[in-house]
This record gives sequence, structure tokens and C-alpha cells, in this order.
Amino acid sequence: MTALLLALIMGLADPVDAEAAYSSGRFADALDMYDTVLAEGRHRNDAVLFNMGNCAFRLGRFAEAALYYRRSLLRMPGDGEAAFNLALAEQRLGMDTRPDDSFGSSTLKWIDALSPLELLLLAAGLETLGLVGLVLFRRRPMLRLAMAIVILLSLAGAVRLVHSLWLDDAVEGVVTAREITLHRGPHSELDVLFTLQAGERVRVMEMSDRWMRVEQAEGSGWTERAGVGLVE
Amino acid sequence: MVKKPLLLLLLCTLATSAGAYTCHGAPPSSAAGAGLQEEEPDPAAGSRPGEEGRAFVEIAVSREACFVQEPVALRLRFGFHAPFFRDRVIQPFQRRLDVPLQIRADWIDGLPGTMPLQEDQARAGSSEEKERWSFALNDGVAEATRFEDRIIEGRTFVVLEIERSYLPLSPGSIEIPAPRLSFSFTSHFRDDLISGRVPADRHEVSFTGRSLSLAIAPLPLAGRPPEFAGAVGRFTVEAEIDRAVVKLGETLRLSLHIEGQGNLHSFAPPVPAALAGFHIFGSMDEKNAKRRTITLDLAPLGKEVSLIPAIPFAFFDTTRPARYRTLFTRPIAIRVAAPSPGDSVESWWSTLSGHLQPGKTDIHRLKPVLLPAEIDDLRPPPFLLLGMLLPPWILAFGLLWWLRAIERDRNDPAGVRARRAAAAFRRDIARQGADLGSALAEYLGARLRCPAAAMIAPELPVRLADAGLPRGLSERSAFMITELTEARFGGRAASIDCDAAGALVLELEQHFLGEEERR
Repeated sequence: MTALLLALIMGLADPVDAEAAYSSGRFADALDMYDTVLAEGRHRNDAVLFNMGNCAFRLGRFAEAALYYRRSLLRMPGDGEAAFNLALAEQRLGMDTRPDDSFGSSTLKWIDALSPLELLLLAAGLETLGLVGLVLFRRRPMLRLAMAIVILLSLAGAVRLVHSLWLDDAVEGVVTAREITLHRGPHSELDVLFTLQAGERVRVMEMSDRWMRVEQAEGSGWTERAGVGLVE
Repeated sequence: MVKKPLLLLLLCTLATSAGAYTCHGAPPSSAAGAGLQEEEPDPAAGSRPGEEGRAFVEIAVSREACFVQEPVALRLRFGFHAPFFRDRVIQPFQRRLDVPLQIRADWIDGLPGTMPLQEDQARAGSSEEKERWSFALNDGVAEATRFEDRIIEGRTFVVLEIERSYLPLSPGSIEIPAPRLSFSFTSHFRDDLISGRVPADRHEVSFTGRSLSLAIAPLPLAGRPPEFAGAVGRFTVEAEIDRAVVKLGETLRLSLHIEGQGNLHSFAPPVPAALAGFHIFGSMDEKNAKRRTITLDLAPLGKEVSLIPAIPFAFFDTTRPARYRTLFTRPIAIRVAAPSPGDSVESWWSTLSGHLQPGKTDIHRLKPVLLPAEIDDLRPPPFLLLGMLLPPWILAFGLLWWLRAIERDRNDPAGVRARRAAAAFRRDIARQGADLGSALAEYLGARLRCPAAAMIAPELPVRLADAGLPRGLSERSAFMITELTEARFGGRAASIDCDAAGALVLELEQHFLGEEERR
């Protein structure tokens, strides 16, 4: 607590102090310090968010921990440690985190683990491969077809990437409250459509000062902003 | 003594004699000998066997309507007239059975839409040991327990039952097929010197009971507490700790004992996500027939912690009126002692964390954050997108153009020679001691796509004109070749130098290129 007060008074937060607080079991202090470090933006945000997730985990705030791990994973998509910690936090929330080892799922997981730049490189590489193959295999129709498919896949990936990066305004969110109710409109007296539990993922479609419209497999509805953390 | 049934759907069918045989005393002569006599159950008969009945089979169920995940006990009951079975019924197999009859009820081995409960789970709460009677069930031998003696139409029937419990997995209805009972009897046994007691004749009897339908209702959504983890039945929960005083940095064990009737083994353990003032290291789940014990390893997070808070356990109580209920364990007072002398308060966590396995049973450790901040914009700039996706197309078109050029040259060597003629001429005349006439003839030969020797001929001006050269240019070219050839073979110096020949070739090249463009 002393370190936190000092940091706040001086206006600077030192991640070393936060680490020391964590190591001595003062997780709430560590979380506050890391929060200040994050706000200052002088250090690696991916690692700071990961560490904030650890603090929240140790405090038993698993939904909050899941949110921090997801934010961390957004910045370092392939990080196995963050993915493991996230799975553990979701397990503590009672969510089914059994891995799906099918080929399709593994491929999607591998693609999810790539950063936007890596995805772009992958799309460009596939495009190059397809185009060069299309030119080189002019007399082999089946290979040309395969190459055309590769080009189409790479272009579809590029389009999706463009859409998700620049055209899609929806943000991912994680339910941080124990339970949230989704209403038909932005008012608590309107019909309740369904409820979501802590740790569940949603897509935030629009927001006002107090309310946000979120979407999930069950449908979409309005809920109060306080119950959902944004993965941004 | 008839026990009070919970809800007995007495679906009984008896071996009756209507027109076929009689079990009362000796069978009629028309039914003598081996033969299958089968009759449909008489719905009006109910549980009444009739005067001539010697056995019956029925299915009893604890409830004809139940909820998803609510254990339902199905009892297969059959009764037999003991004196008749003792004196007249033939053993079906070599192995001697206590009750020499066979029942086929396939649902005993598995009922679609349900999960069979283990016998020890199903018998939780009843420790009474009963006498067991062997009989043939499906393709094996099973043992039934004595349920009661039932007096029907003046005859005493020994009633046996076998029970199986199932957990319905989804709402809807479950059909339980009718059981089928069969046995063989004889009019009398005779003593044989070798085989012993053998039947004098053999009569087969087979009949079916009634099927049964179970209605499975879904668990209501209304009033479902957030802690509900699937427990259905009626339970009690108690909490206990292994010690009341714990040193900071050590763990204590909190055990939650859940007992009762219901899907005790099927619901998710009620491990709280967080417990104020404690870190939960892990949990163990132990199950036995009567009790389920969830043990939590707890570490107090500070010296000020003095109470393990009440832990909720929610279940759906199926006793009428069925509703959700939430029980709470009693809060338990504890005392957190200071660490041992010499231990700093800050070190307790590190002591504690020594028991953890990051990446296996616990989260990974902190990451170093002292590296300088990176650009936090996760999106690559748009120009990078274009810069990475456009070059492959340029590369592909370039490759295509190059390959086509190679292919074209391969198919047209004369054309290649023609296109390279000017360069070859310049290369030739640059060489020391080069023959200007030969170089010019080679150039013209390449351009006209014929051997260089063919250029040294009297009709050269005409051939050049035929190739499309203007008359003046043709004549000048022919003159220059003739002059250079004569000078070479006449041993005199030529009046034409390299510059003049070069200028002529330049003029000719412009003409040929113009022609190619026009084509």
C-alpha cells in the first residue's frame, strides 16, 4: 500500500514495485500499481495486462482475470502462457474449456494465434504462391485449379482481415459481473431476453453512456456497461 | 403383507387358460406336449391373475412423471404360485434356478435417453439385506429380492422384484417396453434311473406384461439460482475444517459434505469461484454411495481473516411442490496466526507458492514488463496491406511476360536473330580486324531471315526492295555490300568506313522496326 501511495503521489508507477507487491501476496496493491503502469503507457502493455490478469486471478476475480488475459492475447495472440491462464480462469468460472482437438478447430486456433501483421504476411505468401503456381502450371489444369483456390482463400482472408481491422466497429467484450441481464432496449424495465454469466464472451455492437448492446449466439440485447469489460 | 407402493403402476398379465391350457392342476389334454401358448394381456385383468394364473410380470415405477436429472427407479416385479412352480415347472437351463422362469426386459441393460445409475448409487440410503432368488433375465441369470407375498384369488404368490435406477438426460417421454415372461411346465415328473427326475411332457408358456411411459419434465428456468450446478433431488450440506487455527502462509482444508437422495454423483461440484479472504488452491471431489465430499484447500490472504463465509449450494428439490432451494453452510470461525519468528509477512506467499506448479495446476508467473512500450496500435497501416498484397500480382504478371517471351523465342529462332541483328552488327564491327562486309551481310541476312551468304548476289537490290525497303535504301545497301566485298577480295582498301556502315544499319533498323510496329 505504501508503494502504491508513493507511486500515486509521485505520479509514476514502477512495475518492479508491482511485482514485489505480487510476490509478497499483496495482489490488490499489485493490481492497482499495474493499472497505473498501464495508464502511463511506458512499458509493454501486453505483459502488464497479463500480470494484471494474474493479480485478478489471485484475488479470485476470475472474470476480470479472463478480461485482462484476453486483452493481453489481443496484443500477443500466440502466447501460450496467457492462453493457459485464461483457460484456467474460465475453468474456475465453471466454463467448459475442454480443448477441441479436431483438425478444423486446431487450424482455426492456429490462425487465431497470429497477429494481424502475421495474418497479412500469411495472406500475401499464399497469394504469391497461388499466383506463381497459376503462371507456372499453365498446362496442368488440376494444379491450376488448386492454385486458384489458394488465391481465393488468401483474398478472402485479406478481405476478412480488412473487415475486422478497419470496417467492423464491433468490439469483443467479457462479462465481468457475476450475471448480467439482457433487455430488449436500453432500460431496465424493458423485457429481459436472457442472462449471461461471468466470463462469457460477447460482441459489443453499440454503446451509450450507461448501456451497451451486445450480441451472442443466443441473440442480442441491451445491458448496463458496468457489467461488461471491453477487450481492446 | 403388501407394502405401500409409492405409485405402483401395476401392469400385470397372467398366464391364462382361455382356450389354450390351464395352469390350474393338469393341463387339458388338447394342450399336452410341447407347444407355445401365448396370450395378449387382458387390460381389464389389472393385477388380478385370475383363477388359473400361475405367474405374472409387471413394471413398477416410483413416479410416472419426473424431472430431467431426477433419478427414477424402475422395478421389474414378477410373482409366481410357489407350489405349482415347485411341483410342475421345468428348469430352463442346466444350472438350477431358484425360480425356473425367464424374463426378457431389454431396458434392464440400458434405457435410451437415460444414464443408468450404479447399483451402489441407486441403493444409497437402504442398507437392508434381503433374500435373493435367482432367475433368468434376458440372456443371463439375475437375482431378485423378495418384495411381498400377494394373495390373489385365494392363492399365495411369492412376489420378487429387481430394481434399476436411471437418470433421465433430456425432457420428453421415455417408453419402457413390456416385459415378457416365459416358463415350461409338465403334467408330472417321473423318476428315471439314469437322469433322475424328468418331466413326463413339456408345455411352454410365454406372455407379455404392459409397457410403460415416463414423462420427463425440463427443469424450470424461473427461480433458478445463479449457484445452481445441476443438483436435482433433496440434499443436505455441511461444512467442516481440519483445523481452526492456521498460520499465515499455510493452508487449511474445508470439506463440504453433501448427502441426500438425487443425482448425487452427476452435478458439478459446488466449488465457489472465490471465497472472500481466501485463495482457493484446488479442490478434490470424493464420491461414495451415500455422500459426496468436496474438499477445498484454502489459504487465508491476511491475518485479519477470521471467518470462512457461508457457501451456497443450490439444488432443485423434487419433493412436491418442486422448487429450487439454496442451502448455506454455516460460517466457520478461524484464527490466522502470525508467521513463525523470522518469517516476514511478505515471505508467506512465496512459501505458499512453492507448492504450486505454474502451467500445470496454477497460472504462469508474471511477465517482465520493463521493456520499452511498443506501438500499441494493433492494426497494421493500410498502405502495408496494399504494399503486401499488390507485389505478388506484379511479380506474377512479370513472370508470365518473361515465360511467354522465352516461349516465343523458342518457337521463332529467326525472329530472335532478326531482333538481335543490330546488336550483333555493332558487336562485330567493334572487334579488332573485323570484316565490315561480312558484318553488314550478316545483319541484312538476319533481318531478311536468310543466310548471310545469300546477301552477296547481283539481284540483292531487287530482293531488298521485295522485303519492303525503299528503293534508295535498297540500292545503297546493295552498293555498300558489293563495294566491301570487292574491296575484300580485290585486295584494295574499301571506300566505306565503319561510321558509314553504322549509319546505314541505323537507318535500316529504323525502317525494320517501323515495319514490325506496323505489322
